[in-house]
Amino acid sequence: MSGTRKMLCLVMLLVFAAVVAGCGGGSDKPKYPQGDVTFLIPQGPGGGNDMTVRALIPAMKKELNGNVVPVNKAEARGAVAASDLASAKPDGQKLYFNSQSLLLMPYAGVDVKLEKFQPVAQVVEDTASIIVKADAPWKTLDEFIKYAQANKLKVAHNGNGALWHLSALQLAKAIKADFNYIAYPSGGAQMLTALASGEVDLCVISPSESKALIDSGRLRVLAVMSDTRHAVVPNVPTCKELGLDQTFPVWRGIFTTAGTPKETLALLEKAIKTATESPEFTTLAKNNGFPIKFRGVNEFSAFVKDETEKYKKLMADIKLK
Amino acid sequence: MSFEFYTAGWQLFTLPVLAYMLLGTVIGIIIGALPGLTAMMAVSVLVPLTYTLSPTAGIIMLLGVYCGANYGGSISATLVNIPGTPSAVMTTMDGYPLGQKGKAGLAIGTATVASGLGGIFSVVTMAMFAPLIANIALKFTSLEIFAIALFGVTIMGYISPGSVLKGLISGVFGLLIGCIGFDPTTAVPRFTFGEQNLLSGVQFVAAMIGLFGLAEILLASEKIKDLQTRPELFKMQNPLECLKYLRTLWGNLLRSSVIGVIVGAVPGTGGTIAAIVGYAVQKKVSKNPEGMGKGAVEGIAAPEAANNACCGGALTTLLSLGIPGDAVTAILIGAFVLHGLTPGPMLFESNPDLVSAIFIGMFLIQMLIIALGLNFAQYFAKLLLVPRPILNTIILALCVVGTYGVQNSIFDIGTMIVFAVLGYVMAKASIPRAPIVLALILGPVMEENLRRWLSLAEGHVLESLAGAFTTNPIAMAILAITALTLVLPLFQKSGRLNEGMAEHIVGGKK
Repeated sequence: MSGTRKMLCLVMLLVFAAVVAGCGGGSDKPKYPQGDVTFLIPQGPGGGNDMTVRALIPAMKKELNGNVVPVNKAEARGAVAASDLASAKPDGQKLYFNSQSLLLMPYAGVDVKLEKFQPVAQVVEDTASIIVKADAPWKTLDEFIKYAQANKLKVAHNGNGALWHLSALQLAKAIKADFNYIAYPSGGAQMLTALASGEVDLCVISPSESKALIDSGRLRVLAVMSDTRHAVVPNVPTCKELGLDQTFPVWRGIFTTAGTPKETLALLEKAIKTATESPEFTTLAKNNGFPIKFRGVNEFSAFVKDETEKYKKLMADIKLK
Repeated sequence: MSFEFYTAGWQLFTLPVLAYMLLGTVIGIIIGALPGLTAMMAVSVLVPLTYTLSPTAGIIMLLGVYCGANYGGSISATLVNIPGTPSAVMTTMDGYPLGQKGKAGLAIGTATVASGLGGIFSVVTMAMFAPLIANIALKFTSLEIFAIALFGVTIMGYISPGSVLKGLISGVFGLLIGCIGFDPTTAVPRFTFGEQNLLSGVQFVAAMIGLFGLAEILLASEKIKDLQTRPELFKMQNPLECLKYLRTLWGNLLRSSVIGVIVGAVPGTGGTIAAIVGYAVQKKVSKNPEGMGKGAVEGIAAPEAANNACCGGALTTLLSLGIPGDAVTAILIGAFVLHGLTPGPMLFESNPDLVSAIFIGMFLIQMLIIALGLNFAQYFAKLLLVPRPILNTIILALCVVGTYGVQNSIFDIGTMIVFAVLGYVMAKASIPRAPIVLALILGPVMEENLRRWLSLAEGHVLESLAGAFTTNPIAMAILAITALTLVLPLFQKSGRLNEGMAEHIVGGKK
């Protein structure tokens, strides 16, 4: 009997100690992060987005002084990850990583509440570029434009209303050409194979994705659609240099749930900025050939708004066709 | 390439690299043998873990996983009629019946030797003709891939013993299921009934595990007593027995390996399609086509040689063009990049010893598969000694975990259960299940490439088709063979079609 009582006393004491310790911890520790931060990746492990997130995490952990756990949720084309974030508590405990594919989801029949997304920071800014087969008859952008205006060229894209469809549409509009759009729903690698084999005439895609085929001399970049030249093809001029004022940024960034307190956003912004300067991240960027670009909460929010508007217009063009 | 190039990689084979190679291959075989865990899943999970290893160790280990898993799928296909990986679907056709005859050892031995030899063939061709194969791969445009898929689809009716009609019912049903999801050209959702989870179509691995894995357990639970009292199954045959058959298999192995290398090298295809085409061709040229599907050794050798030869083919495209040949090599790109390497032709110049080490490593991995497979086949087969209720419970758990693991989706588990019920009903009605899987893989490939070719033709379909005789001779040759194999049986005296129909009418209840 007394043994049981002793046990009981001990248990109560332990509970008391735990409660006290809990209180102490609560008052000392900063409000954020509260336990593990979940980092949602809307693709499977091993891909571009996945590797980028995993390269950011070590420095973010150190900076936030807490654990950050990557979670891959690829099902339903990323719709599940997106609704997971949209319905999360607005406390910054759930982060989400994506490219502009996020903004294109609603057009692809994926039900995603974009107004529930709070942009936190941009980390990468790549660009579209005009890529043709190495032995294509056009040596310069001008020659290409003239030919494209007179003939209906075949352009590869990664699905109706997908990223590289919009980039091609934007180019077509800018140079007043009419392309025949051919869908390669598996994405970049499939488009570039088709280009290398001569099945299509051009791709309007990122030079980073095409690095191997450009380096080996099978494909050639006519111009990059960004303000500055690209590290993978430093000798290729920008469209602007050639008198065609067109840019098509391709970006990746981090989002959280709308309504997250400003202080939390500021903490995250700082941690991510430090992470983009960490050796893990810079090495990855160098190996992949994608340019690092940091934009903080306000700048990134404004940028995302502009991009959303731009896509709206391009999508309206597709609908008219 | 000089002789020095081929030996340059040796220096990279330190003891740890060899150890990781062995580890990778063993992990691969085990994961491959477990239903639901696929090569793709294994490689993608392991890519981040290889970060701390040297590039050589990391990449060789992943290659071990890749090749090992492609082979391991045949073990469960043979023992419990559940393809461990999608590419082992065709191995169930003959491997399982042979195992049921008490010759599981022979079946696994054949699969092992065929896989190893197919793999070795692919490595040798890769090392010798990488640039050449890469150029051939680029010749496979939309029309060629459509032709391959169409050829694969034509064997739907003949794929299993029994009624041709039932085979076709199953296959066409699979083609319909394959239409679910985004339209490949216009990206309009089809047959999704507003369900977000169906946008990218029915998850193929889930469907396959349901049809074969869970359905098989349902069937087995009906005849539990039966399964426990079949001592002849437990008596292990010598796996080396397969070497006796080797003499008759050389042509088969060579042909299937060539098919595997080419299909593997063509971007957008993969081991499963290689195995289907390998099996289909074997069935067309076989002296004893009636025996296939009932436990023929040739029916195991063909798909196994083809799907392992596929690894070398896919890697060839990756190394010489920087384009992934199949889904697993697409993930392997990540592993290269992680180590600061860009796969592609420049790798031959920037890291010749690594490329050389990859060739040597691939060769050693295939030898390892043969050695491990033949030595341990009897132990694998001893799995049958585990009481069926326990074994089935473990498989059931693996089916659920494996299905969920593909993309962490609960919805997929539901898909699996639906297909399991379907598979159970089909088995009861003696409708073959393999054609559904075949159609689910080939249907979307066929549609996407046909539609693309049509949009490339810009409305001038007939002119384009006529022009294809000069521009796409490979495609036209495959299409001609397909047409011939469809039409010829109609003119044969005892056409297999008629026979099948007769069997359907007479032997409906078996």
